[in-house]
Amino acid sequence: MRDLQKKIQKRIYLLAIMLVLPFIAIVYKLVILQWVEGPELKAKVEEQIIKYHTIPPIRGNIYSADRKLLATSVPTFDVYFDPIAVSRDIWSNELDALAAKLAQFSKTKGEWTRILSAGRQSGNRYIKLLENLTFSELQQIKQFPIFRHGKFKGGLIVEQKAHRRMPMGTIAERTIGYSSANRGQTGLEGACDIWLKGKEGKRWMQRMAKGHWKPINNGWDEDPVNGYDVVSTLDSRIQDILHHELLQTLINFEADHGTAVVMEVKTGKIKAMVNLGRTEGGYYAERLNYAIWESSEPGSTFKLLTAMILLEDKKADTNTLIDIGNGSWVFYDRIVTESNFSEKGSLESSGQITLAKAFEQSSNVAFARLVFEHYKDQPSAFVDKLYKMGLHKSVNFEIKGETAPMIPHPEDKTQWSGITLPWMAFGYQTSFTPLQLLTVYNAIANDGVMVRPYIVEEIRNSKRVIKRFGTTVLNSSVCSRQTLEKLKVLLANVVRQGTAKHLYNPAVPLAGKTGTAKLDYWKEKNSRKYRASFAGYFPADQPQYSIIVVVDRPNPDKAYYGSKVAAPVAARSASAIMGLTPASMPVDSRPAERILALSKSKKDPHELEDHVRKQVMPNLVGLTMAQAVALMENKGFKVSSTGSGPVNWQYPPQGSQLSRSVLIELKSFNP
Amino acid sequence: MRKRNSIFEGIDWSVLLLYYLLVIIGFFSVLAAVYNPDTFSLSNLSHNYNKQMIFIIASTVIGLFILSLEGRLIEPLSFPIYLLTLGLLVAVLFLGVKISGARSWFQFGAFSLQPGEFAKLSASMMVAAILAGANRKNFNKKLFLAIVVIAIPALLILPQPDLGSAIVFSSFLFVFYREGLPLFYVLIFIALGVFFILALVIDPDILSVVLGGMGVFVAILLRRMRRVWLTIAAVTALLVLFIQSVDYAFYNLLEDRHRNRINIMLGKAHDPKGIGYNTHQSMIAIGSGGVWGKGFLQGTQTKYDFVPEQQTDFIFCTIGEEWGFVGSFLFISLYLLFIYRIFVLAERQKLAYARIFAYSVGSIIFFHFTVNIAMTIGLFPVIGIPLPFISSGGSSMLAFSMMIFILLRLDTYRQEIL
Repeated sequence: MRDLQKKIQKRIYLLAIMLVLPFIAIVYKLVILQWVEGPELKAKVEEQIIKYHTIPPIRGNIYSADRKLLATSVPTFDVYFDPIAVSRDIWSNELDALAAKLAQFSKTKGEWTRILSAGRQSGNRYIKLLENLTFSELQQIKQFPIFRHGKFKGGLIVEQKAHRRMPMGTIAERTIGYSSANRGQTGLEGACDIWLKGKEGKRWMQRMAKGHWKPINNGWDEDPVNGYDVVSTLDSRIQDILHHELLQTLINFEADHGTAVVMEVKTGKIKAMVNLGRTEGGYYAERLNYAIWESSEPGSTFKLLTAMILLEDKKADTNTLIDIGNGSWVFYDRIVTESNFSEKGSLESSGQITLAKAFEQSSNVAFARLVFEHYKDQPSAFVDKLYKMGLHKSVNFEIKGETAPMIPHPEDKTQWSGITLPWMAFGYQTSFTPLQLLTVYNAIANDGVMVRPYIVEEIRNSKRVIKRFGTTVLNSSVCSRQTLEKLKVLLANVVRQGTAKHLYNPAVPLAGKTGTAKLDYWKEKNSRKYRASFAGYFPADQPQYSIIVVVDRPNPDKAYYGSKVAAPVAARSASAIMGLTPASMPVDSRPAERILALSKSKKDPHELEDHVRKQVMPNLVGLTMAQAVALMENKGFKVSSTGSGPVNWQYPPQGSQLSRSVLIELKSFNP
Repeated sequence: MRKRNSIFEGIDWSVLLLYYLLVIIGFFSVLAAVYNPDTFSLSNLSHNYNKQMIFIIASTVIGLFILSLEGRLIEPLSFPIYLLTLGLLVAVLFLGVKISGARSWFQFGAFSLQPGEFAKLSASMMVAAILAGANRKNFNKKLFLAIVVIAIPALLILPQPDLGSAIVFSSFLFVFYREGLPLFYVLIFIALGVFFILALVIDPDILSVVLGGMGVFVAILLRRMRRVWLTIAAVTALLVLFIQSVDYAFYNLLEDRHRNRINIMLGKAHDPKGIGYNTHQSMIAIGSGGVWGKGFLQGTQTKYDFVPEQQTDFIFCTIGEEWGFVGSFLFISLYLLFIYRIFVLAERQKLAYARIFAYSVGSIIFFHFTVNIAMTIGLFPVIGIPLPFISSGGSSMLAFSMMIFILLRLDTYRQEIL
């Protein structure tokens, strides 16, 4: 037993030694590293010679449903100058010529001479010369005096940036939106950022003299993964029509801002979304997305819902008679008046009118009295109907910033007062965004099926679809068949013989409801601020598109009624849109495919390089000019290029033998 | 046997305290390694340091559960847990996700589980159960079984591929030695390691010739004892065979990355492809910390991503860079004190199971600690194993914490059985 214990004791000692030995080795190495070599290694840190640079991926494009480019990334270049790098000889011989050349871009020759000389004297090695140059401008500048001596002797420093461009200009600018580190994210760019952005690559660089970095080939590089393309549901032609119609109206009526949205009835696809606001400069531009953000009291367009509930609950029928007296109804201390009393010829005669007439003529008194009469004892029955339809919920639109709807409930006493119910009946007290209201009108057009509006159709790369989005049903039946048919007649009659009868066009019959909401009425007794609106669909008999137009604060001296300000935009747009398809615009997929093919290279860069290495001219058509030039120049060929878009033409032709003496010519039709 | 009044009754507070000191140091090191003032947030779970804090809390919860278990339940659990781990190791080869080239992880949303980490725990329990089994006489048989028990998970981990984690299982050699394996075999194992390295450094054919010559020389020295000639011839032949097969294995079985790293370590390759980059950067980072370090969150080398795997395998860089020699020395001493306390606990156990388990835990942690620190300071090839309790990573944190809490529970159980 003693023996065994001794034996074990010995083993434990040996183990302890094994434990301590590595400890000593580690401490010894640490002393060497941190104590002895520490200062030297510290210095090494100062001039760390290898590190990786990130290579930004190319952001995906955004296309309209008809395959027009809505947003794309093009490279632009900033050029800086290091005057110290230039030798005295070159400097004195070529400074004048350089200043003269630079003056072609901006400033004068004299100014350039001063800037460059001052920079050289003060030792500034990073003078900003020009920014946002296109690729061809850069190629030009590289041939300028001094610069033409190359990177090291010429002192030219080039920095590449990706610049986001919207080929359709200001149209749908806000709906397309932006995504940037300092401005944040809006619109489609923001909603689809995760698809568009791609993944950064890494390139290991070794530091050379004067702050230049040279890529090293060590196999650790990660190529950037370019972003996917987003195909939106927007139709560029419909967007264009709606944009110009709304813009014209805003200008004519000197309105503060306006929004208009067109939605495809069956699917919920947003075909156009226009938001225009007056800027400080006095012109109109896409700045805020009113369609999804601005929630407000809808006004008379809400009467569709009031009528729906009355009909559903069988409280009234279209021929029910209502006494509207002389056009005003005193209720507690408030008076319900007909907002556009003088305009409605037939209403000037007071007394009894039918519900249908009240709807066509948009009588506030009729709706207020009818609803108050039937629901005053059980207001919940009225409000619950709205909740049951799901109208208290956001439509969860893909683009961020949607304001949730507001419908006061009788059980919530902070929101509910004696006048809430009757005022609700003709469009006050509740609050909806234009897009939410449009969703309701679209449901009527779509035989009672309420679908979610959506704006992203598919995510794809150049070859295949990554993800496709579809229709979501929010409510499969908002009301009964009979009610639906009656409502459709009411809406059609508004344009046929009601408030908007001056806009009736038998070729493209429009159905809908006008609205004129008073703004700030609780603040200013005689407020003259209005919001004119129209919501509806067309063609009335076989609805294809639903539309909402809202014009905020038109100049009241010109006009402010929904029928005069907003409805004409809808009517003119409807005619133009129905004129588009299918006759005048056969869907031509050819240019679309070409754009897709050209904007994204399908080529394998390694394969191309292989060709060049074998002295065979590759097919560069479809590459971006920058890629193509870089590929050939890196292999030692001389390249002349015009244009900055994708390469459309090349010389020598594909497959021909290459030699260094041949000048390679590349052309892009994009200037 | 008496009933406990509290799950902490009789607990070894020194081990518990050292454990929490280490995991807190770990949390701050991970934070420092990935710290970015622009995105700093203690609530964003995508940051590694916040994940680390979650794992510390999760380990504590699991630890409390282990401490509340009946002590006598632990040994019978060894076999089921071992079987479960083997099942997971087989499953991960087919169902696992590939992360940086190795199929070692199951993915559950934002978190991933690495069964290989838990294999060390279950192998420790199983080895303890086998060696502690009654029947002292048949030690060799039990030893053979124990070797099989550790070989199965090691061989399952190898093809993931994860050579580093597989090599960790060789730390059981300490356990076997403590339990009676003759020193001779331990020395043979170490000698094989030495010859392995020699075979890689020196041309194996030359080494074979030299060995043969040495055999002849020894034979001549011992010319009076002709009876041992046969033994000498056999040993020499075996060694030559071993050297040749190492050469074969090195060039045919190892992966390029391991081969390269070993080559660089041995000074054979002049590092043309920059494979030594990790170690080189890690040594610059640690060395640049100097004597006193740059201060918490002031390190530049780890933060600017010069050091790869800065928050996992190379976490010691952050400590070395920010706390300098003084901090590193204190940290290493603290760690060693922790390991020392584990062995102290091991030696005071009455149950063989508890003692062997404690030895296994101590040996595995010691192996991880030594190899990890040695590889970050350039003393050992980079085989990619984490620094327990410090490196970022949930599976490793949970598995090692479970080892410690089971050990603590066994230690309190010792006092229950009096």
